[in-house]
Amino acid sequence: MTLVLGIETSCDETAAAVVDENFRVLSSIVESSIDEHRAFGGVVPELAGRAHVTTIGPVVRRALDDAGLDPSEPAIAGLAVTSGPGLIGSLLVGLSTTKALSLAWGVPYVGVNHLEGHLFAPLLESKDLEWPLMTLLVSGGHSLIVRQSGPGQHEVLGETIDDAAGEAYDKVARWLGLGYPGGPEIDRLAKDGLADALKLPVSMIGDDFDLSFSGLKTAVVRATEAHREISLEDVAASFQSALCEQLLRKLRQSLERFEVRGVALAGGVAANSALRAGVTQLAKEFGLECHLPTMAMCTDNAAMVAAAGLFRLSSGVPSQLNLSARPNWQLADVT
Amino acid sequence: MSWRRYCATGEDTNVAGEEFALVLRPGDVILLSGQLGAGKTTFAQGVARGLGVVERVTSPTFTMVREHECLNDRGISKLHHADVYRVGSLDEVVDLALGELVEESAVALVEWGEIASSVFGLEVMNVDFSIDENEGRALEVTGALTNGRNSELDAWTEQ
Repeated sequence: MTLVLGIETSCDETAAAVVDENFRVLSSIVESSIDEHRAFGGVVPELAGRAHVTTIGPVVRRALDDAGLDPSEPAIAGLAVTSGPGLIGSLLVGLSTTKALSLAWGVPYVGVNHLEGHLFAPLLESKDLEWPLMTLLVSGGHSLIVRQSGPGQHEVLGETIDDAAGEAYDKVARWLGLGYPGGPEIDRLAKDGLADALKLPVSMIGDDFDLSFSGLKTAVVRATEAHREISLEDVAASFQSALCEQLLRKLRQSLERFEVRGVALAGGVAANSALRAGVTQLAKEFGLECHLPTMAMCTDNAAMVAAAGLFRLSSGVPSQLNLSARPNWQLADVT
Repeated sequence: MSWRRYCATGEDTNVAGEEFALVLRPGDVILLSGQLGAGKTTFAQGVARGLGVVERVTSPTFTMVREHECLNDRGISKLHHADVYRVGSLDEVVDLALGELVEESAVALVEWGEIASSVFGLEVMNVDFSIDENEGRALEVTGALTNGRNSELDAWTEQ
């Protein structure tokens, strides 16, 4: 049996997981430092880095224990670690730990792109995946529409030209005085609000697949200043509706342009109820298989990193010990 | 001294940024301030174009700093686009070491820079964005770094 230990520390989650060659998850541990960040209304990079340092050891040990492996000399074929994109201080904790373990255990390791990790998430949850796949990857730091013709074979059709979708949620939530992260809170409030209470723009720049959320954020700020009497529920519902509308229209355009067998949703914003409902509906309309991640797979986790690493280790050369973290590593630059 | 420029639309803000690139010199640190949606990133995208950045310039909020290669004949080889919106304390801005990043041949644009102005000292330029009732943006440039650049800034204002 070929096992890979994955390690993920790109943002505020410290995670480790063991995955086998059939993309079966033997263990997956995720520790979030989100409570420490809540007071600041966002992830605090320095806090995140420090939290990773103290949690990474125990998290790796638990992942090995849960998979029934000997923590002093685990029978694994290799390690995979997120080496970008993300916060530099956070990435370095995972990368340095992985290099040390790789040396100590005498097994190869590979640096994995965090976004490619998200693209491997459906392989962990849907056993009979059919390619090609159209994936909407939306999180706090990224928003992309990606066409995948097979594992590790992806083409970025479009991405945000300004803010990420999750970033728009966080910034609007902070503007409204709501907690961090903004997504769950706005999603909850939106259920009791009217989606047409505020007239907000649905940005549709050009006929390509690029996305833009900065104008929507600004429109919310301006509209709430002009209508101070409007309820939080109505603002949340109007904002969420406009944001999802843009994502769904662009996804629809991509499905009209390219023939695929399935649609997948990935990243933290994939936990959003309105987006899940919209994507499900769209897949049904086009007669496609719909791959919605479980809540555990929406958040950053190491199982998806291990899955991407499994693929990279088996198809390419392992990383060298001088590999650097790449805070702004684009998915389009992954080869 | 201060220099003002009015931008009626987002496109105007973008062009104001592009032309502001002509004011910049290697080693500059520019702090951009203004409320959410005031046009800081739009301005920064314009500056990047003016400095000859080819790749796409998106919000740096998530990773805090993005570095872009510049292609121009003015000795500015790199643009550091930072956003201190998410920092919890001034110590963290110190940790970013933007002053050191800038070196001789780079410039830094810092969004929400007013939060951390004490870290950057006085040798900076401030670009302040305010929104008026017509949805236009009033830009105001101040700071010690404007000294000796009157003609460039006058030209920028008179566009």
